[in-house]
Amino acid sequence: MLEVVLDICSGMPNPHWVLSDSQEEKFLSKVKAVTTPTLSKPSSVVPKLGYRGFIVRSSHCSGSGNSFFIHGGIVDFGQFRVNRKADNRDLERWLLDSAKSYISNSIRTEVNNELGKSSSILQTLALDPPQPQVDCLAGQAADAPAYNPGLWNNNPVTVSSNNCYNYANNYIDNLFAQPGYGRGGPGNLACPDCQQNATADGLVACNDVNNALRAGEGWYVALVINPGIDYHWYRQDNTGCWSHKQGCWPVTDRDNSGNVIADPQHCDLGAYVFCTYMIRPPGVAISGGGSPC
Amino acid sequence: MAIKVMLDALSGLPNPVWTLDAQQEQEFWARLETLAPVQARDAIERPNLLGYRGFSLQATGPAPAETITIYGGTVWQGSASLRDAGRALEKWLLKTAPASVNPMLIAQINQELGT
Repeated sequence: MLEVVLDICSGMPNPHWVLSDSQEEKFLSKVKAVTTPTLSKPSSVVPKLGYRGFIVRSSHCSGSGNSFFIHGGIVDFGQFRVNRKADNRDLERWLLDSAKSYISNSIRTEVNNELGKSSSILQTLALDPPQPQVDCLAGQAADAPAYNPGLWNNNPVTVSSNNCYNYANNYIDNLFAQPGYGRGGPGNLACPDCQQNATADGLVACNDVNNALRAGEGWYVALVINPGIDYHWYRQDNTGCWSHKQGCWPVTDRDNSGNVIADPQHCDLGAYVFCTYMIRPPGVAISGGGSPC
Repeated sequence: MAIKVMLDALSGLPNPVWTLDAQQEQEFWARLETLAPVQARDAIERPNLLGYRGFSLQATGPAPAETITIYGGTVWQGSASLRDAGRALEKWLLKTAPASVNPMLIAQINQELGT
């Protein structure tokens, strides 16, 4: 479920309402249609009185995932995702319409007046700096999955019920898969044990990812661990860059520093350490016991 | 009313979940009542990171169910955001974790919280 907050008040609480299922579907498709990346922030990040945009957040029980800040034609996905910009304010107008009786006529008029003005941000779009170049590892696999976060992120059940191991294997089963499930996993949370569990599922150890994999040979994944505490998996997409899914949270192609992941062995892993690369060939069977997210 | 607490910190393994006992529940609501509101724009969002990402609480019956999330000095209760000065509520919630929660995980988060 998505909740909308109209950020406009100062002393009083901001108006807020929940989108219906059909509205949510419409909203997410409108957000998806805003595709031009930008490093700009909405102008209302500078505090001011009056209309400051819409905050749209997931009200799903896990508290994870979807959260957007929309103002001035810009969709701000937060600290770790690149923003997107539109050349109009249709998304804000649509959100205003979704408010129905949750807002007063005076608030509606005020926001409509603001939406009729040109935003200084829209006028600076042409000044965006070029996107930084990222050199991802050259070794790619013919079978490597496409980076398609929407497939994993647009359904709250998919987000909360599939983990990093599901994602690395590109397999949605809503069982929060565990390496070696039913075959002795998880065992000790150390590199050799985690790797052994994955091998029991059919993954194959490899030392480097510089060899191209032909069709039918699978794709590359990487295992990192927080020793004694947890494990985590990445996968290499057909772009050559890597992406992952952190527990109950949406898929992302960024590391803990917000950088595109060119190589999991050399990205910001937080408290985790790199273990090994592996190959995920065809015929791997994974499973799990479900998730409390 | 029951409050189920999820410590959101893991990726591969499921997050630890426990239920506050009656005394803890009473203390939680008392602590929450003392928190001052903060503008949404100044509130800290829970991050999509590898590692500790805060707490997600589910409070159920007899009052309407609600979800409360806590991280980085901010408490989100519905669309309202509250300031958790010094991350005191976060630190207190971590102390309510039962012995079954991995002590190494608790120690790591305590270090991050500065306790």
